[in-house]
Amino acid sequence: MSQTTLIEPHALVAEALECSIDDLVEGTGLGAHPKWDSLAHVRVMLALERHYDVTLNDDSILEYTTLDAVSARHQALVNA
Amino acid sequence: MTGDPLDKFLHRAESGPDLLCIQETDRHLTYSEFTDLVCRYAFSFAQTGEHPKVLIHLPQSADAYAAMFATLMAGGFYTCSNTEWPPDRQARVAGLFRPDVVVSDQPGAVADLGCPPSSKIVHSTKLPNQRLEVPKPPHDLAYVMFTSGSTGIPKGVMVPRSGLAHYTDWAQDAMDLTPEDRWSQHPNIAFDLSVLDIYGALCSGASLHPLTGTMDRMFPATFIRDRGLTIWNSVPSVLDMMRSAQQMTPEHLGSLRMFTFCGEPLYREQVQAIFDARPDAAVHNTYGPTEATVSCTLLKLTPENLDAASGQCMAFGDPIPGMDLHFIKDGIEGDEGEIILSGPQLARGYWEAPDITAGAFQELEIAGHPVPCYRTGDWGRRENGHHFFIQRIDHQIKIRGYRVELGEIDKVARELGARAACTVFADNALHCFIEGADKLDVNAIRDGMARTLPEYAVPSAIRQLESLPRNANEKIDASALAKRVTDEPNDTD
Repeated sequence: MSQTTLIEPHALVAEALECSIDDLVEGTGLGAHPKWDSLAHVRVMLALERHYDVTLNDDSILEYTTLDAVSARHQALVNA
Repeated sequence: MTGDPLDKFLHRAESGPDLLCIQETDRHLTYSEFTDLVCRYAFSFAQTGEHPKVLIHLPQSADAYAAMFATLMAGGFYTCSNTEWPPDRQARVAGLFRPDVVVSDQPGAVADLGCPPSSKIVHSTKLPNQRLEVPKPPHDLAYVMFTSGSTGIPKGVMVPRSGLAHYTDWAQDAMDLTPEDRWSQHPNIAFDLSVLDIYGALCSGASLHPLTGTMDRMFPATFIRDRGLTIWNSVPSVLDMMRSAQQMTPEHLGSLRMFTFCGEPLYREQVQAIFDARPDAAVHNTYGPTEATVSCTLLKLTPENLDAASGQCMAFGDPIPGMDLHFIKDGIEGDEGEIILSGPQLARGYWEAPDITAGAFQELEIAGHPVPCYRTGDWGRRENGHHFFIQRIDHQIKIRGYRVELGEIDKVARELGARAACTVFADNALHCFIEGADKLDVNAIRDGMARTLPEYAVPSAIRQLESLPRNANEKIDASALAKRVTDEPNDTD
């Protein structure tokens, strides 16, 4: 995966939550953002599978429940 | 075959011992193996005396289902505790029920749940090899299902064994169930929608497939495809998960012959999404409170009757044979009013709560005759021959099929330091407004709620206002707060 095609984590999550990037504050996540409910988490996970090469399973669904975790995955891909 | 659900199950087990009964993620049981589990649990329960009270504290699993049939076999009745509930709620239910037996895979469950020390703990890993071969004389009750109560104390709905038998008879006939069916088991066992899965499947020789993993519950259509399920039963909002995952497709839903829904309003766009993928599938919409044994109406939806059955939500159908439904307003039966139910599936009332039982279970005059009825607290209407749910009369709502009394959330907020609190359901989420003399720690209140309330009842947003709006009678104006949510969705105060 090349760095130039990698979507920024804030943009990825904002699109999945159907909200503005400005609405994403530090530390936000599933249950902590008004739009990040279980339904939106499905979209977050599908976006992670599509853009960040995350395999969907019990562990990943529980791991990527915060913006910080999504950002960490992005950083790991950038560094790879 | 009509009659007691235990008899039906034992008959099926005898006629098809090698058929698949339960398919868990890592193990499967045939009817013969499952029956062995039932008989061994039943032996253990029967040791505690006549009519044992059994608390099933397990996730959805073969052991949980076996404990249910075993309780009936031992002549007892059971309640189920959701292992995902906060510990306080689990302990409240256990404290009210005071079980003779606790079925759990946690060795310290009796003490953790605050059960009487005399309660016996049982689990499959420590079951005796002895089996109870002949069922004990039955108790009047089959199970007690605890639901949300406005006072903060859960209400235990006492469902008679005869009511469960009536419901199971209906399900087998209306759903044309056979041993070839492969049935989902999505609702938690502490939610009475699960009763349809468990008794419908296992009294018909079908196989039952519990969804227990996070992945299965988040992507249920993948589970349907991988298991080749033929029947799907859930609250309608699970369809929104499938749609969000873009899995309402013939590829994912191709094996299903039937979808059946209950627990919350079903919407036209949800049904249309089913028919877009599976125009030939049977879609059943049903209605009924826990107090009438899961459900007591049925509407068979088709692409042809979709328009006629559409209102603000889909119509919920006519009463099933044996049950009756009335709309009563100001004491007079008509085409609009509170939904009143009567018939053999009515519960016996609420567990050790005669006052609230007397308020909800009343003898009403129907067509000039006194009839034992249950007042649902739901407002409904008959329109063009169809029955529609309109709204709740009180402050109870449903989220993903679970009852939530808004007053219970407010009570917890006050216990956590709010001077006043009012929770509203707006924009498809719970919003709790609190008032306090000083600035309150909203995060601490949210954490406190998460320790006390089930996950689905914890508000998405908690906002402190200087003072809550009040109407002319000095009551908190909930509608003004709901309007504030819709007018200012990003207002976080």
